[in-house]
Amino acid sequence: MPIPLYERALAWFAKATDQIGLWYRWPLAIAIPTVLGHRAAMRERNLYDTERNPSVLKPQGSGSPRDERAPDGSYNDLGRPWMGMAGARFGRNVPIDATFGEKEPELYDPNPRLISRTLLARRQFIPVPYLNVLVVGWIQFMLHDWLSHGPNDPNLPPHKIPVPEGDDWPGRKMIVLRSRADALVSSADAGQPAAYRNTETHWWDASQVYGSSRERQLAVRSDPATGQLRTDGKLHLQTDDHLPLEKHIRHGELELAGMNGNWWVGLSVMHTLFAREHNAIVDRLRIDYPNADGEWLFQKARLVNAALIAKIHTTEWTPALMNSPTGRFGMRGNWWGLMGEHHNHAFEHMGRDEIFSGIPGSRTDQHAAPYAMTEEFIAIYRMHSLLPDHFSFRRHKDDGKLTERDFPGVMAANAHNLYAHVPFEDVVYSLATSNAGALVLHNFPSALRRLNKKDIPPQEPISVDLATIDLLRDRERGVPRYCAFRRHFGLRAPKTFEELTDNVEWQRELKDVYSTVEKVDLLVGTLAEKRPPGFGFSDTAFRVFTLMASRRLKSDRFFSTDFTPEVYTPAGIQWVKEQNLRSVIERHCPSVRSQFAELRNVFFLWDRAGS
Amino acid sequence: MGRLLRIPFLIDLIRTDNPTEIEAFASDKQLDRNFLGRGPLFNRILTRKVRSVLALDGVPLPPVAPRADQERARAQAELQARLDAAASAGFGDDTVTDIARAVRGFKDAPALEHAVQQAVGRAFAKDYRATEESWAAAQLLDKAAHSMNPLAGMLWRSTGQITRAQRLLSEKVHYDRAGVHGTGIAVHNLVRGFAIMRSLFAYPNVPDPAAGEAVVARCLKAPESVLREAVPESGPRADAIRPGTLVVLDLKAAQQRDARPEIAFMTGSWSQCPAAAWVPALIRAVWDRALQLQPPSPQRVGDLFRLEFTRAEATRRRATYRSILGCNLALQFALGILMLAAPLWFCRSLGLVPSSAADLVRIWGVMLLMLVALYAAGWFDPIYTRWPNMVGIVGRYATAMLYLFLRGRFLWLALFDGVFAAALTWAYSQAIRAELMSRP
Repeated sequence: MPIPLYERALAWFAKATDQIGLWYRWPLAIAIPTVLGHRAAMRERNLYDTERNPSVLKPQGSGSPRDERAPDGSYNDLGRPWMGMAGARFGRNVPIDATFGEKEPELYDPNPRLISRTLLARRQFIPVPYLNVLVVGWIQFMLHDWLSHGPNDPNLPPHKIPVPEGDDWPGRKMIVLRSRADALVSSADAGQPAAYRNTETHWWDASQVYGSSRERQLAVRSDPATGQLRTDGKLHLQTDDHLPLEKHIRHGELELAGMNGNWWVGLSVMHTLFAREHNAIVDRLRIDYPNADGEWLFQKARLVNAALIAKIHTTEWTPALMNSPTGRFGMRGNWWGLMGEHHNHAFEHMGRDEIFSGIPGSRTDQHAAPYAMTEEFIAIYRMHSLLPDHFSFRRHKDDGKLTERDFPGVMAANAHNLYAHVPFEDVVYSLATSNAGALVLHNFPSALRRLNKKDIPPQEPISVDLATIDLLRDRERGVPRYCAFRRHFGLRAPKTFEELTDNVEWQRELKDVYSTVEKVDLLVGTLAEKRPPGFGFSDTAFRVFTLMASRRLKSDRFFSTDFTPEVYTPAGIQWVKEQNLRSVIERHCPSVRSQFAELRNVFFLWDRAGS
Repeated sequence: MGRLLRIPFLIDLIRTDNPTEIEAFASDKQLDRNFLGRGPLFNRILTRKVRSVLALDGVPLPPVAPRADQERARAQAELQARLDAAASAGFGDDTVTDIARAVRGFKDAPALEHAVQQAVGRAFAKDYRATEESWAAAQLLDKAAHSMNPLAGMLWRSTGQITRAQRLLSEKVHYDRAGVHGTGIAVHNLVRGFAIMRSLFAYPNVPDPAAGEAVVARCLKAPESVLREAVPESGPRADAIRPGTLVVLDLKAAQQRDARPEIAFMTGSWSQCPAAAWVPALIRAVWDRALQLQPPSPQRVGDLFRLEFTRAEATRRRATYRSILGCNLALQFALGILMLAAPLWFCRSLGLVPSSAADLVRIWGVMLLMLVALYAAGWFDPIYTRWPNMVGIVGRYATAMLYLFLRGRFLWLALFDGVFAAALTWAYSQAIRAELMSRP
């Protein structure tokens, strides 16, 4: 679709203001059109397609009925049914010829384990003073909706990273399996960088709750004990309203969800809340449609639930991490437009464009490339530092201590085992009254730097260092390093370490590890970078978010053209309009309401009982 | 040599921030701290200030006493020996812990400045307790010592504030003159240093436990400057110093060029600071203790994260905008009525030909009234009815530009629209910002 004239004007305006100063130094009235201009420019030059032979994809959907989301994400675009479906390739945000994976010796230069130890390892927990641990559970909940590279490739020789002198890692070499590149290559892929497939749907369709295939969707709607599909349209929950358990090859038993990899209690809380929310939506829809069958109710509730999740992420989670007027205006503008929330509620969508009334309800647009999650987006969302190492679980009534756990004590099967000792409301309260970690150097969770996992194969338990893996995966998959990444997004790259960060200690440490600032890894650079005022992440990350946050909505017809009462039902649209995470928690955990009643945002640290 | 400022009868002063020069001047026998109060006007004012502020009952405090003062030399040596011993022996647990807790931001910790003053005071009096009053006295003394405002100085002296501050501080250190200087003047350098240490722990910084020595160097803050006066007996010199010339050694600036502690403490000179070992040892002890402390448990988030405060602020900003807009709309309404009722007068006021313009002015008046009416919804709820407000602000700039081009008496209308456009832009921006910061 041709770029609207006003977007060209905004892009030109942004270029002009960038010559004078960064967007966050301008007053609101200048900063907003500047950010919009950046987005317009990125929509044109930072979207690249890798799906050269889509015929290899076999959609499970059929496009009918068209007002339902297909389980595998197919037929969102009726003309390109494969777009965004589970199994489609990840796209790129930088030119394809810049995405060749690094090879040895560059691939291991500097040694990623060395970087993990000297730049990323947590010395002591650095909290964000005002954000709680629900933030962490939420973002992983989102990432599981959008993407997964699936299991690694056991058939290729693994990475063998030399362990530096004095390192306490067991063994002289760290073994890391390689990413599984797409094997379904065609002649069109000749001479091109390796591509990777997304095992989940790319869409913002709550596939983490509902699954990315028909089989998984049926599983979450059925009682695992009997295999019986629920006919009332609801997700199956246990009698105590917790998620059911399924047998798991590695963990014995794990809570059943659409996507339950890398499970821990923060994720469990989000899945539980939104499984209950789905069922609440079904109950609401049944009032207006008492004769509707379970399948119809399920599909409509899924639409509504997914939209509510998208709205919460756009208007609550992201603004919590962008605690500045410009950031908030931008994110709220994505959903409600320039005219704002109340106008949006009161009136129909103004025109077909997104500027005045927001993206939901506007015209669908893929811009420069078919929709797909991108490798660069994945790289920017490596936010492990948000996670604390230590969890204290307390009663919401009086803040009395119940138990303390480290991260392994709340992950995998230990997540649902925890509920035997700590009621759900108390788990929610405890996470909400504990600080999230800051996205800075020296704050990577210790538990994730020595995580014992059973991998298949090898069968023996092995330890992994996620910090090393984070660095390695970006290099492996051809995500440009920090300076090159910034240039691809039209940002100035630092020429020296002093320009990268004004923290004097970090400058010295970076110099000790990297021979030149050009070699700084993307993850390290974004953690070291000075951030805009009120922001919990870097400006580099913000640029990618600006592009992709809008794209997730704009490209999806269920969030654009088909975001209508006809598709969602009037009650469904109203549900999305009226509800937020505050009301979701109030509905499913009413007893903790007083702890967040006074707060602007439930991702801010709740008040402790008795305080 | 440093910067010379010499105007006969007015000022004779040299300033230097060159570390090499400072070391040379510090050992120069012809530069002393007699402060005789002679020479050009500014010199007298400055030395008089030193003699009055940095003194107790007319006797200069040891750090500003002359070289030849035997009592000064004896007290200095004794104090140094005592402080060196204290530095080696370690500090009282609660002294260090109080400062460390203040650095780490514990809500129930004493204020950083109080904790630091108490630590300094206990080097002179074991029972020293810092209070609001003692800190206020220290602040006054420091301000009086550094202020170049003669009126303020006169006020402080004439109201007895300086004397009261000196007495209060001296009572608390059992009349130890070095203690008065320590708890009244030198303490501020320490507080500045610990404030830097606090910033090292503040989000999003990550303290490096191995960086102890670097932290000490970073938190060691030299005094702003020290003063010397060329003695009357000064013989001929190769430099510009004459008898009575004041020499200002800018230690703080020199420290930027040479971070050695010898510069800050003027080590090796007759006037070296007796706390040269004590201060770094205290900083290191506080750093080590601060690292051991668990971070304060999560505190309640402040008002900026709460609905009541932020919504009150949003309401207030909205009311300000509505007031300005209401005033503007009222004036426009009045203007519209005037245009309708007295178009000929209006034409003449603008320098228009009444016969041809009167009807247009009437129409103009009607349109103004319509504009005000259309604006009503935007005035009632400016945040959620944004369109008329945004268009209205942009429109005012446009009409102001148009009136500017028309010149003549239209310039008054340009001024009217331009001023209101600017005022409304500011107020609306504030209102929108406050509204945004009251939402999730």
